[in-house]
Amino acid sequence: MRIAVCVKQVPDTVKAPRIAPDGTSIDAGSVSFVVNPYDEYAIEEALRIREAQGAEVALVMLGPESNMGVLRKALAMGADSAVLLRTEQPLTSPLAVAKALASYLKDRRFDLILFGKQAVDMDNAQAGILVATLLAMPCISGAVNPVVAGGTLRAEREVEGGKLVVEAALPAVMTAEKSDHEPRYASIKGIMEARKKQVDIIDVLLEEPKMALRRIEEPPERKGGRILGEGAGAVAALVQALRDARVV
Amino acid sequence: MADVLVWGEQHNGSLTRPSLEAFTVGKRVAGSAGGRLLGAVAGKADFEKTGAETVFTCSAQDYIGEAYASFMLAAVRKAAPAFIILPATPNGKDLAARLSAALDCCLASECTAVSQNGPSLEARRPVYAGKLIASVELSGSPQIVTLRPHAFEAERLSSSPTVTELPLEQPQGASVREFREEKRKKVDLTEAEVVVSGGRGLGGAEQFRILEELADVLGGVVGASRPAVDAGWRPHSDQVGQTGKVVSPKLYIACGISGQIQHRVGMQDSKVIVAINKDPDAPIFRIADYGIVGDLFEVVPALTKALRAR
Repeated sequence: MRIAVCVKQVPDTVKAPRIAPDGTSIDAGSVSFVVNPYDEYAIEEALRIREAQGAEVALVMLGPESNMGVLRKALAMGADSAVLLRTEQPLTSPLAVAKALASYLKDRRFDLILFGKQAVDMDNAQAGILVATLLAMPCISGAVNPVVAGGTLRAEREVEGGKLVVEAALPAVMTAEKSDHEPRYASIKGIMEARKKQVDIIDVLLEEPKMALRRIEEPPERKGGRILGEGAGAVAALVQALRDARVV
Repeated sequence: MADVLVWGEQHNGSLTRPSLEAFTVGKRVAGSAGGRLLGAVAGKADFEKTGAETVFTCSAQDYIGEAYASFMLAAVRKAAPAFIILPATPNGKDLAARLSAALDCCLASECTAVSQNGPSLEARRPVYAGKLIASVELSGSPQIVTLRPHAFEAERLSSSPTVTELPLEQPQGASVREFREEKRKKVDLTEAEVVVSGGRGLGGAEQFRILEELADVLGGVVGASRPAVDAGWRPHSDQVGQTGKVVSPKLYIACGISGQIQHRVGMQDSKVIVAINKDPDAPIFRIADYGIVGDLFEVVPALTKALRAR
């Protein structure tokens, strides 16, 4: 069984990144970079499937050469190999990104292609679904607990009122939601082995984007309100305020 | 002529609130673009509330992206819209991406503002877990946007649309195996109009019952901050914040939540924020519209009682 996991390098979003002088990107110097957290859940699921029934797990990352360090970190979790689809172009168009990924993945005979649900920088939540559609593969998005058996992928999606259990014939795509399967930490052994694992580099060219990012800015600050009082005695005032605000 | 096609969802025959918000935006964009407003909804619903000229529909079934995409693409072929709008609910976001790839056009996800400028839609959308806002301009045709629930008002629309039935293809590769009902969940946190949320101050799983009672009175759902989820008091699906869900209800009541930035980015777009905390210096009070300093175990039941009494 061959599994591909598409991973993205993203800024660590503990603090808000500083905006670059051009106003259309973030100041890379103001952040450190990590593997997209949702992609770590995808890698974890791939490794669990490998442990359960045997598989080859390959990571695929699109980005500049400077991403290599983070790709090796992802590899240190335990995947078998990785490929960097190298480009210096900005990755702001989800469709252009998906076409580059799909172009690589097509005809490589992966049985399962995993993505994180979304990247925590641009929060588009599109790439995995776009790639699946471009490759004419079924896709289960925002899903947890994938099980591969009898040529199908089964996974659960949260919907109104409960969970929908969906089955898709392989080859299939899944985008991973966060779950109880916490991504494993890379061991020292994993980190050492990652240094020796095969990482191919393929140069790619993204198409012209149909969506332009004009500006990034801080959201308007929310003004604080007022403390109405202390304890249960303030409840009457709160109820009145909420009625006046027409929210109850 | 720039027509607008809006995809909506219905629950038990009623269009959902995020769908009505999408139709409201659709009507505004159709008006400014000089085109028609059309709708597409799987299953029967109160179509007169769409304000649309024509509504495409098909038989209702559990959401399978491949099947819904075939329905929506058939509607797009008939209507040839310039702009396509969907609510950014889990299904809406999934469907929109499928359309983007199938139609080879761009998609701006989870927008909080949309306007039409000639042939282009311009939109604003939160990025970096809501810490920053991006302004984007779409080009090509058609153009697709999904709208963050509750970022837009739902106006009372009315029309007598022509209803056109389209086939819903059963997809080859995917099917619904089963639906596991979870009675505790009335509506998804991201679509709820009222969220009553608990944090470390609750102290345990049982204690969340008082929040559930308050949520019931308000017709809302219960959320939780990360410490409460990490402690095992609530499931991960209830988590609000940077590593959980982003919600934007009309009313967000934060109980025993200190309000660190990682939680704030998950609820800062709520229309009205109420904070109840015994620490007057808790950061949550800086973004709350109304606050009560006190013991939540006294205040929350008192609030529930006062709301029931009216």
